[in-house]
Amino acid sequence: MELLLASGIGLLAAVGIFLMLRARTFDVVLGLTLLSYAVNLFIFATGRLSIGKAPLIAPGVEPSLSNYADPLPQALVLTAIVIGFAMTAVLLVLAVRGYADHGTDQVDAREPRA
Amino acid sequence: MMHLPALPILIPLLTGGLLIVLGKLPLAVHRLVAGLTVLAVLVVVLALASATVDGTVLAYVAGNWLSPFGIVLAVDRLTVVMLLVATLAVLACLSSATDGEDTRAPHFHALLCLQLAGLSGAFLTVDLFNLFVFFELLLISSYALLLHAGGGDRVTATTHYLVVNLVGSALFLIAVAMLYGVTGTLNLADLARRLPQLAATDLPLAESGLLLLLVVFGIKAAMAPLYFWLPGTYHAASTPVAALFAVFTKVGIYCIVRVFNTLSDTPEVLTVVARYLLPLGLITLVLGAIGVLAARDLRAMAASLIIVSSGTMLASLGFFASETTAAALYYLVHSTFAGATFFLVAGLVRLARGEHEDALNIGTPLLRAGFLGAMFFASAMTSAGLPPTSGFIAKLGLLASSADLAAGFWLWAVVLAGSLVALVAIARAGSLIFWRPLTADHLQLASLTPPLRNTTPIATLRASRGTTTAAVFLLVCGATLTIMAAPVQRYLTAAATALASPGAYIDAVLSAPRVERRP
Repeated sequence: MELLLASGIGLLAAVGIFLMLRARTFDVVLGLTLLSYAVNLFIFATGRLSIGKAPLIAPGVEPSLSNYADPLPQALVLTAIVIGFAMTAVLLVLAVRGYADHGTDQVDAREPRA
Repeated sequence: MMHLPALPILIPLLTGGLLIVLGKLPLAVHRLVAGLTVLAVLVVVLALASATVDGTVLAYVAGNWLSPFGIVLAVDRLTVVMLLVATLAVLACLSSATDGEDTRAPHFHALLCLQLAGLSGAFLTVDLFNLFVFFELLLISSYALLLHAGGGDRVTATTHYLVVNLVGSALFLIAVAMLYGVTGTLNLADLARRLPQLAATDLPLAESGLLLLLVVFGIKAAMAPLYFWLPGTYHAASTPVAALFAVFTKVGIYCIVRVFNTLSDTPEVLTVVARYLLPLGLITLVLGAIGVLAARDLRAMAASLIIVSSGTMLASLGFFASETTAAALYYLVHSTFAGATFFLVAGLVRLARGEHEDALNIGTPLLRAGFLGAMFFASAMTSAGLPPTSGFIAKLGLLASSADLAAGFWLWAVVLAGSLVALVAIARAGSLIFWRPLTADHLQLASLTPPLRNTTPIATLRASRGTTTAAVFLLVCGATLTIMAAPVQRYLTAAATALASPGAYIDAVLSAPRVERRP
């Protein structure tokens, strides 16, 4: 499971960075979205990977990460998702407005010379 | 007043929210509410200052959670300085915006209040994830303020600024997650306690997390090679917003000072960070100075001066010695006022010169430019660091405090060379725009073309009273900083000494008292 998650995060981040380096706002928006997915998964993974464990402390069970799921990274991911969503919305508005104002979705509002 | 430390966040957050909901109210009400908000925050900051002047650290547990599990807000002398500087910058921005920038589109004042809430939060919080949240709050209102009432070029500039900062936020989250993964805490004070106990195998992970944090703060603080967003962004901003943005790079600087000094009990942290901070700061300074020399208009020059000041601060913070830190803090206060003033004066010059705007060309000569010229002269002297201004005292303090340090030579060489370059560039700009002999042709032209008469400097200053007041106010702040240099430096030295031995701060945060509920 570690390999799957790690390579998933790596792939998402790589694709995100590749798209962000392209000179079109639409690609940049997609790239940032993919990068934020990678980051969210990464935060989630810092709570350690476990299946079927509750974050609630039960009496008689030693309170350590081997017995419980860590609830804090899940709360952080939730916050990060909400903020990332809002920022993507702002970026999309800007991208659309930029396209309307300049007639091009090139990030510097200049079409490269052919 | 147990809840005093939370008020600089709560007051502007509340009024900002109210102003958005009640957006249809007349503009005068918006201005009044925003003005009262800033003044209220100013009063709270002064109360906090008097409570912490003896070195007390006020810690406040938000939501009454037990420290270090909940979010802790803490106020010490450094926090008070930052809050005061930010509030004064917001006040100047507000005054300048009443010239008409706030009439061009709705919600300017609401955004300004939210901006203040974000700034206060970033200075107050001791929790790394909470710092991320406040960064986003201040950034999202700064995107809106930057874009305010603008299309075209401003959209492009905002897009660049937004994308750079979104990447910065992603890196911030990765850094915070890495630190949480190895130490199991987000509280900075708790982190300082746990880092030295870390297993040797986990230390490289923590170090890379901390270096990522340095990158994130470096983006905010305009550290080379991460500052390329700054000139375009500041150039596109309207005059009041550009003046406000002068405080933004200082948020990054503050975070670098706060985070790495608090963690300085782990020697690995300081060696890793100090290795990069001094050289990168000096490179920033050199590139900024080249930018000042290459600027084609006053706004670009002001933006490059901001980069120069960032480089100076970063380099001197890289020593992690309490004397240089104290000098850098004085420089920080000075450069916020100086940077904001330069943008305001550049805005006035731009209005006064009509079609030539603030371009550094011969253009139309300014007739009867006495007062505007004097303001430019004062702000130029401060920015270039000539005596008797606060800029001179700030640079003198930096050089004097680094004289005996091993790498002090490099700071001396680069700061002095950078000052000379900035002085030459600013003097050339002043001569081009103001100090020009009037020929008979010019006078004839001025009498022949009525529109030119309406754009004389005096008329401009009368028409933009808010900006003029803000510029004069900031110049007075700078003059106060000069006159009160001794007590201010004593205060900042005490703040820097407390930073260098963060034990008291850490203890205060970890033993933050909970509010007892009345039965």
